[in-house]
Amino acid sequence: MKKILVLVSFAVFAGCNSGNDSAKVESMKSGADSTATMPDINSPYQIQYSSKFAMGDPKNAETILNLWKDWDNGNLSAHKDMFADSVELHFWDGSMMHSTRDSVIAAAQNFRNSFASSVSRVDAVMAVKSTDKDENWALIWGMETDTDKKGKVDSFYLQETWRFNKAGKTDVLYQFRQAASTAKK
Amino acid sequence: MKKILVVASLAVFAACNSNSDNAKVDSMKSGSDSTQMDNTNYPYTSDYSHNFEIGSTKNAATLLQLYKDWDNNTLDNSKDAFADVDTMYFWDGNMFAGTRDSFLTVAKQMRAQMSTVVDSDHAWVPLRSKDKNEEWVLIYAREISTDAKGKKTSREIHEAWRFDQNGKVNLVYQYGQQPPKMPPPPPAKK
Repeated sequence: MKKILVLVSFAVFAGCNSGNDSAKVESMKSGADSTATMPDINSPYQIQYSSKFAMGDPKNAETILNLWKDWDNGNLSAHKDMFADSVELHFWDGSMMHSTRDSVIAAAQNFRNSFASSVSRVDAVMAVKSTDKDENWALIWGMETDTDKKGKVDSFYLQETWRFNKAGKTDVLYQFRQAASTAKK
Repeated sequence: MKKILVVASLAVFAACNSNSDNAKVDSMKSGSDSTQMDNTNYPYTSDYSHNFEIGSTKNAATLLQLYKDWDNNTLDNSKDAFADVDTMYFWDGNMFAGTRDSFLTVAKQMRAQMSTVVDSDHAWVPLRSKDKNEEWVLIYAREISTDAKGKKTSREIHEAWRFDQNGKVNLVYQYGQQPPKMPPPPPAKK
């Protein structure tokens, strides 16, 4: 799902902490030993959202891969049930959308229909959980190549960070982009 | 650290696997059950990896200090955080590949164009790709920079930093998100 018109206000990945330097960051669990507490580090930054993560449920990564495939296939309703009732999307270009699932899917489908084709490549995907915020996320990196109806091709790299609610439905997206350089495959 | 001139060759986050659909994905560990095997039929093959675990927080500490040295315009203090050869891909499509010294020279030139830089870090996650045996730190941040004329620029950034076996940075991928756009004001009443 790509850039869609701005609709409403916005909420940030960041929480609302003050900028206290040298904040002590505690207890990050290691995947190698999920019961072990990682050594504290002295962070020169107050972390606004979280620095306490564990690996999450792979099912959430699967959900995002399916949503990417639906985008490529031009059928955004195929996994409609993977979205929460209310969805908030923050796109790379600064536009955002916060609306009902049906409205979001309709707008995204409308945008997708402006392309003749869209092909994604996935470089990496994972699911993580913020243990202090008790929130689940899926992260994905990849490349998208769009072809518009006049045959113009545009490729770019994407990173998307999707949040999942307790019911396993996605409700927030943060999208980041990197322009494709000619030197990069 | 922002856009720097293209210098040389490339290294890719993506490895070079085939891209057959419905690839079978093995063993992505869950934090709640680290023995859980994932035999899901994913609709894509990951070109690099889908097999991660939480990595070293030491690398995260290195990265956060590096960020602070960027903000403070004291990059030389973090010189030892870099490997001898470094590659960086920036959000705007520029990239750098070269020696640590040449990288620091160019980075300091770029930093000198800004009077102040303030990063606000939302989140960081140290990771290790188990199949590639590579350590990464992911970071999400908002950077507000002010140029010499006082113009402020704000951008959300996401970066993935790779660390070698000696704990030195040797590869960075940077992604950007533009500041939020506000809806246009309603037309004035006549």
